[in-house]
Amino acid sequence: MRWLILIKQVPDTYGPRGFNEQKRVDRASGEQVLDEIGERCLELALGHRDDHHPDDEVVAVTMGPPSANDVIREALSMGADRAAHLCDDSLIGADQIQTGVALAALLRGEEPDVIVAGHASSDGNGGVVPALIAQQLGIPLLSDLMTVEVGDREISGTRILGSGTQSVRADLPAIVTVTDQLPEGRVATLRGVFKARKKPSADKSLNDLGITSTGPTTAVTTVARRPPHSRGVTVSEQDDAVPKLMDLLVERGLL
Amino acid sequence: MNEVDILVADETAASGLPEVAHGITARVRATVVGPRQLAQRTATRVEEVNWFPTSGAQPAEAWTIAVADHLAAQGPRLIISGNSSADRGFIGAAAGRLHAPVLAPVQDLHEDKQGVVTTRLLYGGLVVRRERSTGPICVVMQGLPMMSDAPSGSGTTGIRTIEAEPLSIRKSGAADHRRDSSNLASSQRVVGVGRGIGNPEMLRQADKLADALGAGIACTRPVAEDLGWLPNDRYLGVSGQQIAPDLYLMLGISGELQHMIGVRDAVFIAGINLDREAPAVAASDLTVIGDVREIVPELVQILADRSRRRS
Repeated sequence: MRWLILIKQVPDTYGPRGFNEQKRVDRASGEQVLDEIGERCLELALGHRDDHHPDDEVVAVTMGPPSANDVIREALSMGADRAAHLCDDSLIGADQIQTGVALAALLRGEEPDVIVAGHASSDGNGGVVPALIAQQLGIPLLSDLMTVEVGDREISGTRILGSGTQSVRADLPAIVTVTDQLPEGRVATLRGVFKARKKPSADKSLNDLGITSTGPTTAVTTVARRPPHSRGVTVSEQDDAVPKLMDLLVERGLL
Repeated sequence: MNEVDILVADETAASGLPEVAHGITARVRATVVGPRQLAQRTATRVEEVNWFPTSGAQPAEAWTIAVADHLAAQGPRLIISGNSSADRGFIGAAAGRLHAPVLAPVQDLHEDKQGVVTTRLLYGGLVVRRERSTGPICVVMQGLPMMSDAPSGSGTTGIRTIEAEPLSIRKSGAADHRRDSSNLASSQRVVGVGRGIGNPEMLRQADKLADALGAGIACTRPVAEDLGWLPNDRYLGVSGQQIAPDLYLMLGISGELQHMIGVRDAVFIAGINLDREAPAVAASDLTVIGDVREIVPELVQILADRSRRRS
């Protein structure tokens, strides 16, 4: 079984943020890391392979600037068998449709059985690229799974709906997105890091994939740091603090 | 004025989409995927309904590609959906089929002379980005409540039925209702629990308080992931749920940024905290400095007295 795992290099959630003149994320400011949800996606595939499915092949796929090679190395160190890095200057600032079309072209050539992605990245938080890929490849998408089971011909899992949980299944090939209820990714061992150096990683351009970038039809008009939530901080520690809290909630129509 | 399309998918259908679309145009065309009642309910609020009937064995998402093909044939200029798993599946497929940009998740949507203007929060809510688009675009709206509170009844709008071949996706079993079946995202009041409540026994008190307030229960990531006091889907923050209730009441939550990002759209944030210097204090509208173990039972008592007086 061939697993294609979509991973992404993102700004560290806990780090500082900056923007360049094109109003895009300045990748030089703050540390860039492998998105944590991507580690969980890798763990799903690596766990399946290591649990009596030695013929499984786990391929890490990312799109991003040359620096994204760091997350490829990390995935290979964790245990992925090989990797593909879609890197092309015309994809700088690519929107989700460009990203989806380009990744779908790369994935199509890999003839995957299962494609795994996070439910949303921690930076863009869009969560639609997997759906774009599903459409481009004409395969089923099972989204937001919190458990996943893989059989020979089908993949199944459970997900949360508004009212409870639902079990869903689809024939392979399929794409699934997972939530962070899946187990955390394993930590790369020193041995893993050394082995990763010998593993193949293919750099792909749009030309390699036989597609051209159309350019975005969406223009960023403004980007601004969001002001913090603060509408009058009141601190109370007298004996009547609780009745005061109640009064204020009633006054605001919150009770 | 041209039509605007909305997508209404079964089970997690967002209400409020017709209103959002009517803010832009007088002619709203809905594509409904689900049972007949959903199509009928939608028909009361839009000008045109195209209905893909689903069978009980398959979730709405089995029709994503069929719906995308259908929408593409209509030559849409703006397609709007909610932000559930199913919604994103539909909007992504439509965008892929149309090669249209997709903007997700969007907080605000309007149109000016140069195009459709969307406002999004990025990087865990730290940044506000406004964008203008021309040509067909697909928009995922954030923060719309679930359809369940929509009015019922059958509309005057004609419903056109479209039969199409679904993908091989099946669902099994009835939804397994959980400890707390209330949907956090649509709860008007939410009580949040942090490590600072001290021990899991205090959860019972927090539950009582939530019951008295008619609130949902949420928590910080460590309470779910490290301590396991509540299920993982209950934690709020950068990597968890992001909600916007009218009232968010924090019990023993220090208020780290990673958590507060999950509730920064709450209308009113109150907290009970022992530590006057905790970041939560600066991020709240009101903080009571004190011990949750004393204050929570007092609050429960006051609320109980209040409800007795009313009845």
